[in-house]
Amino acid sequence: MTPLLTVDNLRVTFPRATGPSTPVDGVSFSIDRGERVALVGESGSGKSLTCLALLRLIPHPGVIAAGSSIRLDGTDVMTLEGEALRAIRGGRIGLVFQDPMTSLNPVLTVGYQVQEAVTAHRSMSRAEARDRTVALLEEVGIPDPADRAGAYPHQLSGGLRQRIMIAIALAGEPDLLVADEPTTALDVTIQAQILELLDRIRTRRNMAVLLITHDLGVVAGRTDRVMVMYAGQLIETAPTPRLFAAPAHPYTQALLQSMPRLTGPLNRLASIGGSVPEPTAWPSGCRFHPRCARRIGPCAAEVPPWREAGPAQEGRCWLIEGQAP
Amino acid sequence: MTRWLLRRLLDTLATFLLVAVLVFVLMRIAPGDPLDRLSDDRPMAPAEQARLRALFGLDQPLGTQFLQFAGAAVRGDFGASIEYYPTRVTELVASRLGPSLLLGATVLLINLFAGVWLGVLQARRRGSRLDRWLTRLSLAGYAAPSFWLGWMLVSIFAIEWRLLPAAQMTDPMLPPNAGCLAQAADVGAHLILPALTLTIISLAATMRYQRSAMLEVLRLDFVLAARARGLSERRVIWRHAWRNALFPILTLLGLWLPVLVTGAVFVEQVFNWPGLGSLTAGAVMTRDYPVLMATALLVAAAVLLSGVLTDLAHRLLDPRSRDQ
Ligand SMILES: Nc1ncnc2c1ncn2[C@@H]1O[C@H](COP(=O)(O)OP(=O)(O)OP(=O)(O)O)[C@@H](O)[C@H]1O
Ligand SMILES: [Mg+2]
Repeated sequence: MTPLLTVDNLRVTFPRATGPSTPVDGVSFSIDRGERVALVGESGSGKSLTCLALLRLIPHPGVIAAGSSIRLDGTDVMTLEGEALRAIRGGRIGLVFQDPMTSLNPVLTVGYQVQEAVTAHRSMSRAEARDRTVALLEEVGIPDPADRAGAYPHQLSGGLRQRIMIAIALAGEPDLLVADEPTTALDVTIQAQILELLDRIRTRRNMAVLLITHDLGVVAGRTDRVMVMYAGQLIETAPTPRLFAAPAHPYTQALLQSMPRLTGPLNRLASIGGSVPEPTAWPSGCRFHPRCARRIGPCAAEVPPWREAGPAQEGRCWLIEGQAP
Repeated sequence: MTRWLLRRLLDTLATFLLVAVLVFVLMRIAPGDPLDRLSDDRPMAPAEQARLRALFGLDQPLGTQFLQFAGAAVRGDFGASIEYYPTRVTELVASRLGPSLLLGATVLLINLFAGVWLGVLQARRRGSRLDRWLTRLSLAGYAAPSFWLGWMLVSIFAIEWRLLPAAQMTDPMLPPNAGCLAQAADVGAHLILPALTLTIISLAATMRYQRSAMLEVLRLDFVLAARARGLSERRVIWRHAWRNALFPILTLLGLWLPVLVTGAVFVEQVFNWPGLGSLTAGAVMTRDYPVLMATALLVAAAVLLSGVLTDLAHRLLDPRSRDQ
C-alpha cells in the first residue's frame, strides 16, 4: 500500500541580506492512511513551516526549495496551481492552527467562516450548506450550533473558538488533519477536552492525523508514531511506545527527561542548556552536537547517517550502532 | 447603539452651537468690515455709511446682532448678501451647492474606487516594480501644486488639443432647448478636467493609506488560515483581508466628506467652477458677513456630521466595537 503522504527532502528557504536561511532543511517522511503521527521538537525547530509547506503556504518571501517533493496520494503537490492547489488546501489536508483567536477573522461570524470552508470544496445550495455547517458545529461539540453560528469570534471562549477552527478544518472532509500545537494557546483545563475531541473525530472519520507539539506528554497513547525534529531536520522516528521505552537519540532522551516539567513552551531543556540554533547558521556535522553531553569524535565534523536503532525505529546519531535502514 | 447615537448627536449639536458663536465673534473682531470695502470703490458720505450700517444691522451691539442672526438662521433665513445685495444668502449658497457637490462627489467616488483598488494591488505586489512605480507616480501627483496642475491640463487638453472645455460648468453657446442628454454631456465634458486635477492630487493619500493598512492585515494569521481552507484568492483578499483593512479608509473618507461642501478653492478658480469654494473665497475678500456665516456653518455642520457618520460606520462594520 502506498502511503497517503510522502515528503521527500523538503527544504524551506528565506532569502536574507546575509545569505539564505533554511529553517526546514531536508525533511523526509511519510504518513499512511488513518495513521496518527506526532511531530515534536523545541520552539524554532521548523515544525510549523513543515506543516505550512504541505499546503504550499510558506509565508512570503519564503519558498520551498527546488528538489523538494510532496506527494499526496500519488499527486505531486509541488506542481499544482490554482483550483487544483485549493482542492488540497482544506479539501484533502485540513489545518488546525495554534491560536484560534488570531486565526479567525474578527469581522465575520464563525458560522460564515465554517460555511465558506464547506462551499469552497463542494457546490451546494445555500440551505444545504447551512445544514452542513450546523452539523459540523454539532460534531465539534458546540452547544446550540444554529445559534452560535451567528456569533463573532470575540464572543466565544478560547475552547469554543478552537472547536470552530476544527470544524473549518473538517469542512472539506480531509484525508489528513494537521494540527499545529492545537492546545498551546488554551487554558490547561480546556486542552484535554480539545485533544479528546480530536481523538473522537479521528476515530469516527478514520483520517490520518499529524499532530505537532512540543509536549511529549500529549503524544503518549494518542499517536502511533513520533517524529522528532531538531534544527530543521528529523533526527529520530519511532513507534510511540518504543520512543518512550528506548529513545535512541541523545536529543530525544533529553526531551523525555525534561517531560515532567513540560507544561509551558519547551524553550529550555532540563538536562541540556542552550536553545535551537538560528536557521541562518546551522552547526556543522550533527546539528545537535554543540549541546550534546555525549558527543564523540565525528559529531562536529560529519553529518550522521540514518541508522536503524530498533524495530521501525531510526535515528541520526553516531552513537547508534545499527545498520543503515 | 441608539443611545450611543443619540448622545453623539447631542454632543455634536453642542459643539456646533459653540462653533457658531465663535465664528460669529471672531469674524467681527477681525480687522476690516464690509463698508470699508464698499467705500474703496467710491467715496461714501458718512450719512450713507450710517444708513447702510443700519440696513445690515451692523450698528447694533454684538450680542443683539448674534441673537438676531441666530433667530433668523433657525428659521432658515441667513439674511441678504452684502456684496450681492439684495440676493438672499440661502439662494446664493443653494446655487453654488450643486456644482460643488457634483465635483466633490465625482472626485470622491473615483478617488475611493481607484485608490482602494490600486492600494490593494500595491500591497499584494509589495516591493515589485509595479508597486514602486505606483508609489512614485502617486506621490508626484500629490506634490504637484493644484493650480499649476490645473493649468497644465487646461493647456494640454483644452488649448493645445482642443478636446475639452477649459472652464465653466456649462457651454454658454449651448441652445437652452437642448435635450437632457446633450446638457448632461455638456456638464460631463466640463467636469472632466477639474475632477481629474483633484483626483490626481488626492489619490496618493488613499493609495498610501490602503497599501499600508492592507500590508498590515495581510501578515495576520487569519489571512493565512483563510488560504488554508482553500478559498479563492479574490475571496481571501477582499472578503477577509480588505474587510479588515477598510477602517483607515473610513477615517480618511470622514476627513474628506466635508470637501463636498467646502469646495476646492484653487481648482474652482482655475476652472472658473461655480462652486462654494470660490463663493467663500470671495466673501472673505469682501467681508460679506452673512455669506461667510452661512458657508462657515455649512462647513462646520459637514465636518461634525461626517465625524458622526465615520464613527457610526466603524461601529456597524466592526462587531468588536458594537459589543462595547
Ligand atoms: N516568516 C518567516 N520569515 C523568516 N523566518 C521565519 C519565518 N517563519 C519562521 N521562520 C524561521 O523558521 C524557524 C522555524 O520556525 P517554525 O515556526 O517552523 O518553528 P516551530 O518549530 O513551529 O516553533 P514553535 O514551537 O515556536 O511554533 C524559526 O526559527 C524562524 O527563524
Ligand atoms: Mg510552530
